[in-house]
Amino acid sequence: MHIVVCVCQVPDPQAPAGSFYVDEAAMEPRWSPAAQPLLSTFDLHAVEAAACLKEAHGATVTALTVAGPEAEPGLRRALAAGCDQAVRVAPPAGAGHDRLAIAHSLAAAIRTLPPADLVLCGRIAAGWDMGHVPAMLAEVLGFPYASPVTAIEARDDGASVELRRLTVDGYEVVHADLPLVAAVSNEINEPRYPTMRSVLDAQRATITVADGAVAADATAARLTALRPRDLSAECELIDGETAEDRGMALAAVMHERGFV
Amino acid sequence: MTGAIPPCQVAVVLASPADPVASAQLLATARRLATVAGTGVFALVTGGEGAPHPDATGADAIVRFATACDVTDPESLLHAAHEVVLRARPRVLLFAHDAAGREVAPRLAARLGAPVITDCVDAHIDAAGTLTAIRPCFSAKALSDWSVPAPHLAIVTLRRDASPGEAASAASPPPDGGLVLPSAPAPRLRVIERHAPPPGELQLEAAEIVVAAGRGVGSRQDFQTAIANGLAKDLGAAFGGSRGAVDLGIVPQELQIGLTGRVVSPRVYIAVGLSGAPQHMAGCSGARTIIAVNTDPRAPIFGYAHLGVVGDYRAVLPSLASELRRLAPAR
Ligand SMILES: Cc1cc2nc3c(=O)[nH]c(=O)nc-3n(C[C@H](O)[C@H](O)[C@H](O)COP(=O)(O)OP(=O)(O)OC[C@H]3O[C@@H](n4cnc5c(N)ncnc54)[C@H](O)[C@@H]3O)c2cc1C
Repeated sequence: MHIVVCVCQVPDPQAPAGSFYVDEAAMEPRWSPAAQPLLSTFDLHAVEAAACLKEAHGATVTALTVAGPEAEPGLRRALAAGCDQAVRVAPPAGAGHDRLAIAHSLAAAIRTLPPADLVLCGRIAAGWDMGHVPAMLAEVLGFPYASPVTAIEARDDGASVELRRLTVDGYEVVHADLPLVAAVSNEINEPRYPTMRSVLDAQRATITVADGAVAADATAARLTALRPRDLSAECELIDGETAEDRGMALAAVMHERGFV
Repeated sequence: MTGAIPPCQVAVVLASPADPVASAQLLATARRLATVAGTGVFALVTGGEGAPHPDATGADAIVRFATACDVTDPESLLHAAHEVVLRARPRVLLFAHDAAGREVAPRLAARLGAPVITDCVDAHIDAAGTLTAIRPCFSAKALSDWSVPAPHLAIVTLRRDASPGEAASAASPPPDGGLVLPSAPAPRLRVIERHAPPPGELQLEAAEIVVAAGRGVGSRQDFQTAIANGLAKDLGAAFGGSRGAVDLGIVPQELQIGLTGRVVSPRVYIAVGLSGAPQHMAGCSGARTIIAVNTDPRAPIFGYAHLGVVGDYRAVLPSLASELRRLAPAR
């Protein structure tokens, strides 16, 4: 089985709130150095899912990203966590926010590799919060698609998988023939910490750099404004000697203001 | 088979029979867009001929499948929406930003090579016919405007409550538009089992008051005592939780609120033992009043809350609940 895991790096989503701001004139987000670039959390879960399938059934796992050289630490993280090889494709010129151009670039790269049986992605990357790429990639490749996936097991026939996908109010158990694109959610596993040995090996590994020959699509929606949104509120702290007193005082305020 | 659907319209996909409010909001937004654009609205419903479907009042016409399709299967919905675009050539295609919309909109965009804007809180069309949709990003810490010029198709998913209070004005259900779509091809994914808990008494999105539990609640049992059978019950509130709470099994996954969970905009949101991570706040930033209970006075949640109590919820909630009962015994 050949598993391709599509990954990307994002500024640390857990960085303190003050580390993010908006450059309105440039219509771009900015981060202070506190928000270090990391492999996107859901992508780490996708890498772990691939590593587990590889351990259980044998597989070759390729980590793939469409990004500049600054994304290579993320690929090395994926290598350390169980991927066998890593491919970086330069982003299509002028892609801007065009997720379909990214999907086309990923698909073009996947077609140059040995045939992929399973393509795994994280369900969304923190940032622009679109989560479009996995679904678009499935369409571009012509593969069926499952998301958000919280369990995946290869079936005995070697040509299909059993997976769980979340629904609005629960989950479904689904059988899918391979090839398939699956976008995974965090419930699927607990990503392992790479061993020192695997980190060192990953540092020495060669990352294949491919040319992103796909041109951006002119029809994408155009970003025309980006502005910060101040969600902060003036918090009125409830006074009281003990926690019980404060609970009672809160009740009085809620009652008085007609919240209940 | 075509005929009754004039071109240049706003099409609405009504696929969630369980959420009439979301349908009504979609239709109202569609009507507003169509009025500016000087065209009409048609609704794509996924029940077969004669089958029950979401209320499409506010649309000018209905388009439906020839036979019933499984509305919970994104692939058949994708097929239907694709057919609609090919046959009726709408200018705007609106979906609810629910599980189906999240998946189908980008897939359809890829299939058609069309622009897609998801999770929008508002959309409008200007005199030149340019559609602009507004969506939160960076965990709701920013708002972005995206536009698609005429005459290109724009695929848009709208967040529920995007325009609260908006309601369609037309009184009578629309006639069948005469366009009947062929049935969807056999799905490529085979659903073997479905697990859905019995529908709760209160739908999270429809609730006036939501009590949200975080990792700090500690255990499922404590949650049951203090929240499910305690404060939330007393208030007639719906409840959910943060990812921290879901990870600990305090609340089930389907009740996760946030960027990768459900989005709520109640009148009052009571956050108990949750730190206020931006990805969580992305799911409740529409709440009118946020009340936080947290032991840590420096927890980020106090930066979002309008009212805050510093303290152990195990002490705060029981006294809060009993005092509320005393003040409003009628409940
Ligand atoms: C891409 C991405 C998507 C995400 N999507 C979501 C999402 O949809 N929803 C979501 O919630 N998170 C999401 N997260 C995770 C998010 O970043 C946080 O990790 C998570 O919300 C933390 O949950 P928490 O607040 O319950 O836990 P913690 O951050 O651990 O907070 C627990 C809080 O409880 C307080 N506490 C402890 N004991 C008590 C007590 N006895 N009484 C009162 N207070 C107490 C503590 O002071 C602390 O503030 C996402 C993350 C990423 C990267």
